[in-house]
Amino acid sequence: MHIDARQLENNSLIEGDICIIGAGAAGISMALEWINTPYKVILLEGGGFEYDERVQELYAGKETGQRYFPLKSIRLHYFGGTTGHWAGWCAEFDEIDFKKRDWIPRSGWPITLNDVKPFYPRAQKYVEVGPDDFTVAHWHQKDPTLKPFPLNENKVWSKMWQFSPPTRFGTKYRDTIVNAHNVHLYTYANVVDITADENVSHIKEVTAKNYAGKQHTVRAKYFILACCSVQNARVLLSANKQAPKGLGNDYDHVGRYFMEHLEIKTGSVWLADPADVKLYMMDFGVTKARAELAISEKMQTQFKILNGTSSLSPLEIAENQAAFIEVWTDEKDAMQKSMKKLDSNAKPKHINIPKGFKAYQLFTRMEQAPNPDSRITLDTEKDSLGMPRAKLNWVLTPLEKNSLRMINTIIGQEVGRASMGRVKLFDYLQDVNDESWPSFTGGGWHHMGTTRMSDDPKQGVVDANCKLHNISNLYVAGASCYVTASAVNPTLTLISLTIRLSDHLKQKIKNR
Amino acid sequence: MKRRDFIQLSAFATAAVSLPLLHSCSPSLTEQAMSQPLFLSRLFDENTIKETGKAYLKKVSSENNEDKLVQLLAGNDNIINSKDENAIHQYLDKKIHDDFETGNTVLVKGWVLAVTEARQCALFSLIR
Repeated sequence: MHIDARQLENNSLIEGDICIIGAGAAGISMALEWINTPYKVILLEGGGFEYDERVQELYAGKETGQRYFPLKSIRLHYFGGTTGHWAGWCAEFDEIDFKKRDWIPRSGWPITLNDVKPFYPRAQKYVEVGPDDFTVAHWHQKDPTLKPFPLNENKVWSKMWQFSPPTRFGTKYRDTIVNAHNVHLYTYANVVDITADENVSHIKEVTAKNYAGKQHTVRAKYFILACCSVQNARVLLSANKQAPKGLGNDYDHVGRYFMEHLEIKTGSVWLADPADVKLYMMDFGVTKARAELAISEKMQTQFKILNGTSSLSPLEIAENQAAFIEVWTDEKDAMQKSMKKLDSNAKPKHINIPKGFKAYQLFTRMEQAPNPDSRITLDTEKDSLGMPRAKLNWVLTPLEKNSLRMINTIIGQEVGRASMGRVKLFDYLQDVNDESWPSFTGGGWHHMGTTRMSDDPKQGVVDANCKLHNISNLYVAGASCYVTASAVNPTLTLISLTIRLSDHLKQKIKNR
Repeated sequence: MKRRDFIQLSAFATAAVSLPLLHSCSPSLTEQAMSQPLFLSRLFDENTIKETGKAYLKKVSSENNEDKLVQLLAGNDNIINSKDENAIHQYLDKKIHDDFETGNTVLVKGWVLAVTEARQCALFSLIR
């Protein structure tokens, strides 16, 4: 069922069993899981079914620190959310991502990969990838021309990605959601406040507004915040009439540990012919799966570096392509526009490549360490609905720089050992004492960590079941719960975590 | 990397082609063989090998000496006294492999190189 909240009588009261706040990848996945259950699901979406500048403008905010994309452009504020411009890249976390790593302060999740893995197959269905096999062996069996480099997998291994079409949740699941009898989707329902009981231990209701001037109250047994990392933090921090620091923020963690994936060119690899690279190549929109060069847990531990992978693309094309930080400035049709911009620059650059060699750019995607100074806070400026805008201070540290250097050095050592070729690092990585970042430094539009998970309420915002500490019925779905970021794109895992949360809530509500 | 003339060096199994030398004191056969990094010579031209060698010596100025470099590359008298160019190449090729295996590498002008091949470039830059 769909209701346009702009058309509702002002000050309407909406009631249900569970209230999902946000209809992006996490919110829609959760709603889909509750279809045909005996429970009434309220699904609140701040925008409509199409891009609306007045709604998108609510996401505008300032950025300080390391140069970042405009806050307004990194997410989409309509039904389907940021799946409206995601590229569809899907891969699974590694075991090390969940572990406490003594060289990464504040690492270590209260859950392990084994807690998430059972939910990956269900998440894969929503993003239309599969089968649930991310091993090179599987893909090589499907296509014997896909061969991994002959590297020592105890040092450098080939990690597989699968590519979603990409699934635009807003298009793919609109009818399913609207036609589901027990799911009540309210568009133009921006949650601007949350009201708890007098002990601030239980959420009574949330307040939703829209630019038509309407304000409504939503009550439910359970509330799930699923608005993306920036907005989840913003909503909690803004809910400060009963908790001055914001809900769930007694220990000042809400908004902190904002993490991106560094996605940046790091060097080149020159491979002697014949080099079988097909497994590592991709044709956007055509390739179903491909590998990137990943660093083993053993090497990450030995060199005390972050988790990252490097992809290969033909150097003559890659050299001419503008950095994402220059291209991804516009949220509407962002992916299509950026692919066009990248394509238009993709005239091959003449590079002297010796006969008998092929050259590829190494492009590294890497987690950043959880850093309390990298954070979302509230601005004094308010949006048109009266809610304080979000402000981002993005911070990187020497650990990130050193890790990028070492990842590519380790790849160079292995490629050299295998007599395959040689690796050359970009200038900005050559001086171990240089902590500066080049102008083309940017992320992948992946936002994580602002309501991090911890068993200890003093160290995080949500517990292992994504419930806010000390608040009995408020949960968070999405990558804002991440403790560390992994090397891989966040969408598949955030959907898996959401499905896990959904199963947990179904059990809870059944036991009430 | 500037590309002009690639030095075509044979694989160690076949006869080597000597690099043109302008040094008035001709290096020994051993030095000549040692100063020819086989794999790199397929990738770098003569000038790049020389520049790489100079850059390495700037980093590790203590090795800025022909005899020292030969000693470091040879590691034993059998190789130093060897007249068998193929054996020398084979020996150094194994050293390069072992360097990469053990992480005994150095970053020279951005290139991740085995220390052995960086020394070879250094020797080339000195005897050229």
